[in-house]
Amino acid sequence: MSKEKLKQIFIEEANDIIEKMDIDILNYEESPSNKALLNEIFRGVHTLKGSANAFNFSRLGEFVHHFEDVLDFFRSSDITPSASHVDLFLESVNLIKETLEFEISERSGHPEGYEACLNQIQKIISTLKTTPEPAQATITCNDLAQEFGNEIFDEPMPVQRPDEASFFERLEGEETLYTIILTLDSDIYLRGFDHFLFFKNLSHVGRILASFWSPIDTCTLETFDSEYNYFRQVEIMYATQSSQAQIEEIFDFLEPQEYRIVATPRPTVAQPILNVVSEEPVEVASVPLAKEENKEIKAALVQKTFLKIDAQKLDELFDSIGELVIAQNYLGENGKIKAVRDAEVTKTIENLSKITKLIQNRVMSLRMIPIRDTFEKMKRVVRDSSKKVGKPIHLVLQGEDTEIDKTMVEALSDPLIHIIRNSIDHGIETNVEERRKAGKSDEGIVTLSAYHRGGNIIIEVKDDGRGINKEKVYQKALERGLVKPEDELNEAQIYNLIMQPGFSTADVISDLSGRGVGLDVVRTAIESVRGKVEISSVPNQGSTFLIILPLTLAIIDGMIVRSSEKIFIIPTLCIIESFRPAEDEVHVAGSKEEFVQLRSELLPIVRLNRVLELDTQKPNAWESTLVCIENQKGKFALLVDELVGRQQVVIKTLGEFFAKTEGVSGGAVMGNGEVALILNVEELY
Amino acid sequence: MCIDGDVLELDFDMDLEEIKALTLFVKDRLAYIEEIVIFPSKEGLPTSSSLWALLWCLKQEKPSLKIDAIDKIPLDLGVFGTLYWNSHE
Repeated sequence: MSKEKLKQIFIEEANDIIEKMDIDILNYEESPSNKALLNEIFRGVHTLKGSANAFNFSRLGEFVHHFEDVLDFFRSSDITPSASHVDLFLESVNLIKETLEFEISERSGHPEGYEACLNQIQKIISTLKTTPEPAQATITCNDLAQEFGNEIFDEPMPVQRPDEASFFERLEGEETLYTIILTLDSDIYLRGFDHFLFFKNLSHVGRILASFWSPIDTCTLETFDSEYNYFRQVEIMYATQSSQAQIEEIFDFLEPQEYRIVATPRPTVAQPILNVVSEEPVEVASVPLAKEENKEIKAALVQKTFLKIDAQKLDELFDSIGELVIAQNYLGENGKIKAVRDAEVTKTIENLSKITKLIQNRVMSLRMIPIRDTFEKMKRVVRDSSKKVGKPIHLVLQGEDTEIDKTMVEALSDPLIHIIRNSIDHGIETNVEERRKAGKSDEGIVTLSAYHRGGNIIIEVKDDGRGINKEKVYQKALERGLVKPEDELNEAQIYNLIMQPGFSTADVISDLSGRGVGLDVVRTAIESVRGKVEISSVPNQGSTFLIILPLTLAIIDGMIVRSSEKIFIIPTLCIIESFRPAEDEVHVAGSKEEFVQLRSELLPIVRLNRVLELDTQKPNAWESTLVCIENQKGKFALLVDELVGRQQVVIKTLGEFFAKTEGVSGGAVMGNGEVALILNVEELY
Repeated sequence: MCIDGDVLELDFDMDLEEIKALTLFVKDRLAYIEEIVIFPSKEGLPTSSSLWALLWCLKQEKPSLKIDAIDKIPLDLGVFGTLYWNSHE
């Protein structure tokens, strides 16, 4: 690998470390007694120092060296860093970021504030050193184990479990040691599988050295069911010359979360870290080692194999899977193949369908990442904004584990920053007295939450501030000619005006917002990933910005329905159920509005042919099929002629001309080659 | 499967249906069973992990029950390697 390539890997790693440090410091500020977190920050700085020196990034190396000293002092003493120390830590992270940019671009000199920050760090060190020497200055091997979470320092396992090294001794020839972890679902036997079935298949292409079985503890004979899997985990030590991909084939029919295969590299300390994975198409991102002392730790760390894959390659793979799904659908729908009444052909097609779905799910999961990191980054935004405008703010995070398509995560960061800044600057009351008068806490509360709703991912930014002044927005819009006096706007439309380019109601333009740029950018950015922003507000209670995003950008699971001889697709995640009502369950109000009684609920009936203006026919609701759909406004019953079936479809954009078509969000190529429209349920009712 | 006095003798390669029957059988007789012995099948390999779950459950229910497959670990399963219990977790 060329030095340039290594440097590139280092830069990527360094950026990740810096980003994490930022979050860790903010979390540490909230819980200053958390030494583990301080150790984590120290670890990041320590890694950065070694790597910076290896690449001769002397300015970065020098800075992080002193920063490391301060952190080292605090982590090994009983003194808790003060608020000003934490401020300095955060400032240091900013400077590390900037210094790294200087190093990468080979600019001479130092970033602004470098010297001052370094002086402050050194001053803190010299001040602190005059205080009595901390009791535990010496770091023992066990301390390191605790710090680095490193298994090699862990307490030995109970006597029954052999040392990992003993498995390496048993390897023959070119064999690799794999750890296979089976966490089979409780219904595994009913699905025709068994742990020992996989043992048998594994034994055909390698050697099972040992297995470690973890039964669940709450098993009683009274409730024992032989068809229920009581093993929460089985760990297999496996020696084979086969590749990981070949081993994975054995578990093809399992769900992705039911197994994990980890190649365990031989623990050779002297082995250069970057040679661990040699396959051409994949690069292992690791920080090159600068110091001998790091080697042992690093060698152990690489046992947790993570691969960094070019996002472009992932997108290409995703596109190919999309084509595979279309081809698979075509095969399933092909009349000639359907006409072949052969059990073997049918079985093969079914098998192919299963495998296609499995591959699709796996590839999809590659793109899905928790929104946690994006949310964590907002802590810094809130902290900085809060200080800048002098308003105490408490940020509440909810649903951080919600997974979201990676592309959308990238597109989400900037809009979130804008909305949060806007909430703090405009939403939260300027002074504490105003809040107290309104019966609110001194601290303004900004809540950031993520959750799934009706096939979408919702990101919600809520503040408990004064709310949006609807009249003021409307007046401003009139002044700027954004609306005409005769325009009749509902509440949502008025709030949406604040996302018009150049719109601002702020009396004073602040550093944070008020230039009318932010919210326009928000809308554009969210719309570029097929999402939308909705604003609601209650005077003196606060405002809520809802960012509604599709689950993924490429494939959806769709219910195909027919209406007026045309085929449409409804995303299945929005569908609650489908039914055909009895005649007495259908009610008409004012000879126009139709409703259907579904158990205890009364749902409005929306006729698809009328909404999309396909024709003017009006078949009886009790002779049609009703699909109960939930959108943000609630539930409604969509009247269609019939349900055709359920299918995975690849979303194709309709081009700019059709992009704004009401009720339609995209198109899909069906198995027979025809194009079907994907319904946007939010716009149907 | 057969019962010889207070010793229950089982085969390694019991399938799910047999294990289901065995579960019913031992539920009523656990008080009288003192030992469970497992005989290897022709290939010497176990067929279903459900049997091992049942054995584990029986051992929990009646700790005095002697089951070599549980008590004498590690257990050599031939080409299936050595079996360990992570009961400490």
